[in-house]
This record gives sequence, C-alpha cells and structure tokens, in this order.
Amino acid sequence: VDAGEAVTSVAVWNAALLETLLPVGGSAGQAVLLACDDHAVVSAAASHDIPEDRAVDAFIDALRGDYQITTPRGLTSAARQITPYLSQPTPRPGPPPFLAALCVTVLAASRMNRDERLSTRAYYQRLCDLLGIDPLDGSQPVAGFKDLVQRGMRLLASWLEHDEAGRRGLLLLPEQPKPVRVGIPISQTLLRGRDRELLGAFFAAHEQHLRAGYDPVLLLRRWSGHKRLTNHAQGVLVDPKLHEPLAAAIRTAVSGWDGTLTDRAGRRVFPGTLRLSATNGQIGLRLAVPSLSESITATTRSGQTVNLRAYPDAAGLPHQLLDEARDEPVRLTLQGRHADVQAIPSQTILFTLCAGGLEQIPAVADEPVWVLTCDPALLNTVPDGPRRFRAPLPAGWALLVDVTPDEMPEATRVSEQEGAPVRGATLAGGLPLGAGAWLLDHPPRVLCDISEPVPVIVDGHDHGYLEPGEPLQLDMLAGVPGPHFVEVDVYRLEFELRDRGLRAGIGSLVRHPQDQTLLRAGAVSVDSVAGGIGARVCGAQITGVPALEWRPPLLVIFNATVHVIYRDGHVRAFSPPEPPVWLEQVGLGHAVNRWEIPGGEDAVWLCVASDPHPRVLAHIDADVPATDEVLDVADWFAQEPVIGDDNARARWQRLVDLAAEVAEQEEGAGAA
Amino acid sequence: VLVPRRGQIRQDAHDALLWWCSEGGSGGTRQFVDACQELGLDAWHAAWALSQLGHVEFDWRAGRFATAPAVLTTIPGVPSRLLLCGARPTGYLDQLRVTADEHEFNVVIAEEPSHQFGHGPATVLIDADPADGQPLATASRITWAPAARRQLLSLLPTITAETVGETEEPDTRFPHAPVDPHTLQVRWDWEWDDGRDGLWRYRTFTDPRAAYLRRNGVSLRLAAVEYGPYVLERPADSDPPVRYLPARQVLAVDGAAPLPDLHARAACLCSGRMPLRQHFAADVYEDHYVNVDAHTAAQIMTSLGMEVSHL
Repeated sequence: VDAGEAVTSVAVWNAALLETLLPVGGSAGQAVLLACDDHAVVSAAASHDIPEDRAVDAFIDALRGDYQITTPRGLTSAARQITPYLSQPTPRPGPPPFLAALCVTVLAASRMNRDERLSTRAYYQRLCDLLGIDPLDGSQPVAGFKDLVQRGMRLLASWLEHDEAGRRGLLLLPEQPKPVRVGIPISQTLLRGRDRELLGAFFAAHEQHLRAGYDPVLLLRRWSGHKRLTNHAQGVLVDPKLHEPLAAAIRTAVSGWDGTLTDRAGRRVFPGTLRLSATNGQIGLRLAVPSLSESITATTRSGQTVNLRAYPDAAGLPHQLLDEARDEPVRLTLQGRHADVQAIPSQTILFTLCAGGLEQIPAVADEPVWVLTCDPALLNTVPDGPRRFRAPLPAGWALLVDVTPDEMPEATRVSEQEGAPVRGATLAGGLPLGAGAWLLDHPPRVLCDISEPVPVIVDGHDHGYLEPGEPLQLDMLAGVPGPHFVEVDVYRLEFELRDRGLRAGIGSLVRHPQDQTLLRAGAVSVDSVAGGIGARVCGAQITGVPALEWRPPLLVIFNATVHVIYRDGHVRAFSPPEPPVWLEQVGLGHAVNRWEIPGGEDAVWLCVASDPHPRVLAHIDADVPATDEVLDVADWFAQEPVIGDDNARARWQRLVDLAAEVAEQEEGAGAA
Repeated sequence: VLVPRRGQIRQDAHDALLWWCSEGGSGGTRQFVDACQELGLDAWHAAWALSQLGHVEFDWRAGRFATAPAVLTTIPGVPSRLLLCGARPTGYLDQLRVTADEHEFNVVIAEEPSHQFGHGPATVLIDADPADGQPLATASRITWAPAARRQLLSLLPTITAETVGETEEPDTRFPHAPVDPHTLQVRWDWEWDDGRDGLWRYRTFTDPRAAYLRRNGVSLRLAAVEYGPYVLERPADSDPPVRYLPARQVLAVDGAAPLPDLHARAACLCSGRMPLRQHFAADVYEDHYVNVDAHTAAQIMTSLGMEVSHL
C-alpha cells in the first residue's frame, strides 16, 4: 500500500488503526478501549510511511473523501454502513468498515481539555473542527453521530467479543454514558492533549524507570503532580479495569516524548542542564539542552543573544543572568519557536562532580554538593571561610563547596513525598528496587499502627483481619510479577514486583592500585577520579593497562594416557588428572572431562594409548628431530591410524619407516 | 537436619543479595545494610564476600556500593572451567545458555551454580573449552579477562607503612587499644601508654575500625585495617600471618590478619570460592583459599612484604 492510497482510503486506515489500537494478543481477554488520539493516528500513519506532520490531515482527508463529509451530511455515510455489516453472517472477516469513523469521534474527545469534562458543546466543536464542518443547530450538531456512536460502538464491542473471540481484547463501554451520546467516545479516551502536555514533567521525573519497564500506572499514581491531570485522566488512573490500557497508552506517549515540559501557561519549556567550571578563581556557567539536536539562537529577557548548541555541547552563559535569577527562574526564548529553555531554575543551583566537571542536579541526596546560591539563609549556613569558593560573582551570590544534605533546605533534598508511607498502614522490608517496585521474590510486608483488628484485602481477595502490631507478610505474592494492591481498612497500598531494576551505576566504583594516593582511598567513584594514574580495577575487570598475553591451552578429552611428541624432539606421557578436591566438594568433580596437555603450543603429535581405539593425532604441521624417544613412540604406534591430512600421514609414515630402519640396523648390529 | 537447612537459607540469602545488587546496579550502603538485615545476613561479612569474589565494590566513606561488570575468566589448574564474576541479573544463566546454543559453542552451563556452604553467593563455573571463552563472552556482552588474577597481581604494589599510611595523629578521646604483635589480637585489656610504638585500633565516629601505626613517635593512619598486621614489625618468633601449602594448593591466612581487599580478590579468583574457615579455638582460625597456584601465592606474599620459601 503506498502513501497515496493510504491518504484516500478509509479501508486502509481501518486496518492500520485496528492493528495500532486493538492488536491481536496484546490484551487478549482483557478490557480494552478504542483509545484513538493523535499519537495513535501518527503510529497508524507511520505503518504506511505517512510523515508525522501529515498524519492527522491524511486521516481526515480519507474520511472526508470516502464518506463525502459535509456540514449537512456529517457522518451519515459512515452510520449507514452499520446495518449491512450487522446483517453479515458471523464470524465476519474484517473489522466494522466504520472503525475509522468511530476513531475520529474518540480523537475529538482526546483533544478536550481539563475544563471540558462534561461539556457536550465543546466536544461537538472539536469534532466539527476536525472534520472541517460547521455544527448543525438542534439536538444533533453532527448528522449521523448518534447512530454511529451508539450502535456502531456496540457493534464493534460485539465483533471483538464474538467474531474475534476476545483475542484483541474486550471493548469496555459505559453502561450509562454521561452525557448519553458524547459520553461514549469520551469514555474511550485515556489521556487527553492536556494530560500529555503535563506528562512531560512526569516523564522527566521517571524516564529511567519508564524505559526500564516499571509499571507506568503505579508510577503515575505516586507522582506528586498527578492531581494536575484532567479529572477524566484521574478517574482512569484509579480504575483497575483500565490499568492495562492506560499503561499501554503511557508507554506509547513516553516513546514519542520530545523531552519538553509545559508550564502552567501552556508554553513548552526545554529543560537545560548547567555545567560549572570552577578553576583558578574563575567560574564559568555553561548550559546544555538535552532536547536540542541542532544549534539555535535564544534571547534573554534583556534581549541578549545566546547561541545554544546541539547536545551534548554546551553554550556559555553571561554571569549577569544570575542577577535575573534572584527573583524568578531565568528562561531563554528560542528564536522562531513558541518555546523557552530553562536556563537558571532558581536562586539556588546544586551541582555534583561528574565525569565532565560540575553538573547541575535537581536535588541533594546522600552526598555533599556544590551550591551556587544567593539565598541569604543558605549563605548564613556556610559563612565566609574555606568552603566559599573565591571567584568574581554578581553581588550576593556565592559558590559553596561540599555542602552536606543536612545543611540544605528541606525543599532541595530528594523528596520523600513520592515514596511516603500511607499513615496508618505502610510498606516495609523486602528488597526494594525504588520507585514503588520490589524485587520479584522479595515483596515488602505491611506494617499497621491501627489499634484494632482491621480487614485486609490483597489483590481484590479477602485476606482476613490484621491484628494490631502484627506485620502482614506478603510471601504469597513472591514470584508474581506486576502491580499489587493491599487494602488495610481504609488505606490502600500499591507496589509492583519486578525481576528487573534500573541496573544503573554498574561499574561506577573503581580502585586504582597503581596510584599512590588512590590506592589508599580504596574503591571510589569513577567520576571523581578522572585523573587517576594507571590501571582501574572493578571487580574482576581491569582496564587502563594492556591486556594480558594469553593463549588458550590445548585440551583433550581422552580417558587414556597420551604420549606427546614435542617440536624439539622430546616426548612426555600424560594421564587424565584427578579432579581437585575442592571441585569435588561442590559437586563439579565428575564433570571435569577435558584436561590439559602442558606445552600444547609445541605439541606436534599426540599418541593416544587407548585400549579400544589407539590412534595418533597430528596437532602441529611440523617435522620433529628423530630422537630415540620419538622413534620409540613411532615404532609403538606404527600400526595405529593417523588422524590428520595426507601430509600428516606422510610425515608420520616417514617417522615409522625411520624407526623400522633403525630397528633393523640395531638388529643387524646385534646379530653381527 | 537444622544445620544444612540453615546453610541453604543463608546460601539463598547471599544469592538474593547479589541478585538485588545486580538489578539495582548501585546504591547507598545504608540500603545495602537494610537489605542484609532483611535477608538475615551480617552486612560486614556479606560485603567482604561480595568484594572478595569480585561481584560488588564498596566505598564506605562515601556510603556507596556499585555492582561490578560481569567478567568471564580462567582459573589455574582447571583449564576446562571458566569463572563468572560480577553482576548476576535476572536470567543471566539462561541467557548464557541461549547464546552458547545459538553460536554452537562447546559449553555446558550447569542448571544451578555451586553453593558456597552459605558463606557467599554461589560460584558459577562454566564447563567450556577456554578457546570458546572470548567468543562466548563477546556474544554475551560480558568482559573476557583470561587469568584476571594474574593481571590483578601484577598491579599490586609492595605494601609498606608509607604506601598505605598517612601521617595523622589519632584523636585519643575515642576508645583505642593496642594490637598484640604476637597474636594480632586487639587487647582492650592492656594498659599501654598512648605514645607507645605499635599498632593501635580506634573506634571513631566515622570509622569504627580505624587503625594507626605508631613508629618512632609518629602516627600513621592506615588506609584499611587489614594492612595493619603486614606493616607491623613483629617479634621474630611470631607465626607468619600467611603460609602456603603447595601440595594442597592452599593459601592459609591467619584469621587475625585477613588479606587486604585486592589480595583477597586475587586469591579468590583462583577458584571463585570463599576461603574455608578452619577453627583451632573459639576466636583462633585460619581462612584457607583453595586452588591457589604457587605463583599467585608467591606474588601475594611478596606484595605483603613476606618471604617466599615455597618456590
């Protein structure tokens, strides 16, 4: 199918949207939604090589063309496909032909905003805007809409359940939609445009966990900003039936996230990361913007120009910007785009030592940080003295060195909010992986400080009563991956069991045994010792020195004595060794069947003195001196088969002939 | 019946701890101690085991731990066995098996690693032709480091008071006691003057195992307490803290003078095994490192400033 056909054919869009929104197997037997939004249309379009910026237009063009959509006709043509499809014998071979039309009704709902939850008028206006028509007066602003969503959506649900036997999931429809008609497409939406904008901040906070496969719904519920989502999304967030569809929608959204945040005024903001160079009494501030793939010019509030560079490069910032940051965060406006870059986030900026020097961090955790600040309270904490970096800075600003977490204001510490226990009942113990997840076989237990027995429900099942002061062990959940829910009286606890964590920081502590100073330090952070001398040791991995010269030994598996003829003409006999005692102790002794021929790199012939299968193996293509030892072995194995090529056999035969000749001469000499 | 069961429980706990470290990748030592407590393990012993075996590195001063990258290496005397050290995330053995099958390597990977009698994470010794080691490691995206112990040994400096100590006067307000140069036991019952030369142990806020060597009236703070016995001038009739049993290929280390981290790791990389503890009395024991070849033993002893007689 080429792009041209896709642009004009509803049938092609039906197939593409079906595989995007309701793929086979993805949610077999589970509740699903026809959650068509801009991302879904872009994904469906991508399968036919339609570019992202053309996707929605191409979709609407196809609908308008096939259904001849006009203001008077509306969606009538699509609705007229319902009755013929209904009369087809089941199982019907394909999806309802009006699937794309249903999708556009949901797409309109997905574009509704936070304040438009129940606004019927707002919904119709967005649908008409999409379809390029005007709303009609009266109770049906879009002709054919009522029939399409009421009968069409039920028919889609029936097709999924019966014709497809649930392999694409079971469509979840509200029993009593509110409003009665518009509520149907609205019920199919999970995230609205406004939600997706807000989710930027969520993605920024939890990108690592999301990319590592943590349950996105549990993470979103724990995110401190989830109250700013639309009321509709907040309802979806706590609906257990929509857990899987919502998780899939968030995963799709994060895959297309461009790294931007949205401020309260709806303006896109690219987060920036400050880098600080502090040497010889000089301080340099540089700004890197992870989302920038090309250089771009930006301006400060005072009109000064800053040439931002493509990531990972950073652009120098004038110190005067610190003056502007005294009162509010400093942003740079990107020229030619309706977007800003966050340059200086506040009057206190935290830095930690990274591989490239000091780099901005959002909050202080366990280790001391460097702080660039004009906050008088913080400046009082570290008075003039050895911990104030001496450098020219705007008046009132100072760079503080090695500020410990307990010296920092509460607001700048890593927030415990997102993992805070519920008062009354809390999760404790187990082997936590962070962000509300625990290692698969080691779930947490529930601690409760309620002074009377309280009912407990685990994953929807009654679990009796929890006695005061007794922890609730959740061992029955060990090994069961996924989200789990424990309700203790009125408290609801959620967590996830996973077999995979972030695996972040593997190899980040190293030792420098050849560095006089660092030897004494033991294992230290790889970021803090960029100038360390010599080799680095991390576990059994050694870097920074040439690899050891090593050749694999010659191993054999014969259960017999082997006479080895070496390149220099000497001969040695080897037998299979006994396995070491320590290996026997751990049950591996029996499995040692390969054993080494010492000096294997010089072994020319291996003569195997096996009773049932004596033989000679050629190992190296080389002639050996005809020493007495060699000729004795050649004579002994003269009749045995030679394993090797023709050349090897000829070389062995020469040795055998020579041995025979010598034997004859010796016999002759003996007879004489 | 109870003893082996307890051993199995401890073994499972050590394996779970390494699994958790590998999935997290890195973290705070406070979290590590909590995890040990959850699993019923002594945190110091567990950290000692993980560090010796090359699985996890610890920076106690900064309060951090980080799992080491997975490494495949050879061991002396048993060329058909390759030792796997470092991170062990979920399904690592299955992935190795799949990789070996896909590439048709001459490799046998046991269903279960070999237990350590509950003293550390189990040992993974892969039955393989060492010629397949590099391709197997490359295909499995792990580091191939043949004879890693030899390379590690070549990096070890000669341990002297100057290389591992820094001049620093101890704060005598903290509890402290001399170390008996004969037995290497900490003698809290001795009444030595503070200024007396010898090895001293201190319990400070930041380091409950601080060690100071006082020589000619000058105190040196030792980088790690393990260095103490090896930089201390001992009476001529003292037993050596390390001895080598060549016939058994065992490196026997006095329990009062445990090997410094990297020396212990070099000894463990000979087998992947924790040392076997041999008790002579309640607090008197030796740690026996197995399968230590004469060359490795000699280099360890030389680095520790000891005379080598077995070669």
